[in-house]
Amino acid sequence: MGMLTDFTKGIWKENPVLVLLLGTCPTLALTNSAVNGFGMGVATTFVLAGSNLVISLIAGIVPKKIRIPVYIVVIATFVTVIDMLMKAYAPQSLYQALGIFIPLIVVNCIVLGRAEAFASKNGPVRSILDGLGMGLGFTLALTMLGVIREFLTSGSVFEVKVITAWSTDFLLPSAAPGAFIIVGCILAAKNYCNRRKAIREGRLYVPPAGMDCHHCRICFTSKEGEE
Amino acid sequence: MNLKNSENLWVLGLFLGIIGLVSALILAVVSNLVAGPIEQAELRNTNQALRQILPPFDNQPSEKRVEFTSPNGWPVSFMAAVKDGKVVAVAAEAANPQGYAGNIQALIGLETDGAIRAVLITKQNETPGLGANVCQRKVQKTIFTLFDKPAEGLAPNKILDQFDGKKASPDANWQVKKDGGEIDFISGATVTSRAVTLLVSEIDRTYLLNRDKIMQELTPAGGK
Repeated sequence: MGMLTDFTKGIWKENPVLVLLLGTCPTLALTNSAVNGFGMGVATTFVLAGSNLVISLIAGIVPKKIRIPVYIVVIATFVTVIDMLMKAYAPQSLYQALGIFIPLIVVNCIVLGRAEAFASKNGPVRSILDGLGMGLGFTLALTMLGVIREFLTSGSVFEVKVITAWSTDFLLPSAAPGAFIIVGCILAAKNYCNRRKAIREGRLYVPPAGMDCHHCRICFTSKEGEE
Repeated sequence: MNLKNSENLWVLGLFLGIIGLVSALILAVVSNLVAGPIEQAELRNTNQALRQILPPFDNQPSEKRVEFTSPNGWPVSFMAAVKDGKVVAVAAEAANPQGYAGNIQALIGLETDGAIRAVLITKQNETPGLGANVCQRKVQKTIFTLFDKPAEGLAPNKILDQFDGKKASPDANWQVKKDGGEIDFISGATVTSRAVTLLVSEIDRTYLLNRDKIMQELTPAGGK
């Protein structure tokens, strides 16, 4: 049971993109098409599982004061090794699709976040499961975003035109401002659903822990109105 | 000594140093191990691109490159496709730094008389959906053609294809139509279209100007 939750929590309950709001940079920058989002997700999943494993193994001896630089060195090494191995042995089409994303993972804070929040406190097996689950959640969220943005841009999904009459691309959704707008709408929708659900069940809606949105007060004001 | 709660600067520094050293060691070993396979993989990729723009050849074109300078000062490198000891076509590679977003690099197949066989953009960073459309050769799949077999050869691109079979002779007016030339462009992506046009014309001009020298240097020894 415990192990299963380690894996499944990353998919929805603690989804890195939609709940933890980690890794926003690749989320905004790389999801202009479904293929890109999926590729970044898969590459990150591998790195997450691997770095979580290594860090859970060395966490016992790493001095607390310098744990962050040590983790960064470990992650960077891991990513570089994967990059070199893929360049050498992966089929060209796969490396062409994933290759540009791999160096970007070094600066992806999901990897460092999971290392610090989970892998450094748990054993290797649970850490791998956590990495895989988080990676899967990241992949799903990125692919979904990619599909939405790609469809709004050119009417195609995974580079297959669904609306054949759509001949000229609409560039806003595939550009950075469009990414902010769409991610914002999704987050707003998710928070709205959560709040409705909380009210129906008769409890107070508490925004996800660690999300510092208290200065906005919309959630709290509306709640006071309904009570 | 409790390493985990240590606050001794020397211990911390040493620990970080050791971690760095171990990582460097791992990277050095892996980098050495995969150097050969990476080189082979890159060679395979170059050959794949060359095969698309050149007639059948039996040598290794990328092994021998000769460099010349284009009329406006860009380095252009030439490779020969050799079949039965004879140069059958030439591939030329150069980059234009004046794309909309940095370098645009092209690989162009040329007949021995300087006529263009095919233009391939190998590196570009143009705006997706706009400038990139000038550079990419990609067949748009639709739900109706999803299960069709992919066509053989190069995918069409109406901007790149218009150079096929032409020569950048002195009287050719290779400018985009907006600048009074004869080359079609994509409106909204004029900068990219201009950059590609200039790049193709500079490469072809370089070949036409230095043709004898290039052929002399690229003709394999013992062949004719």
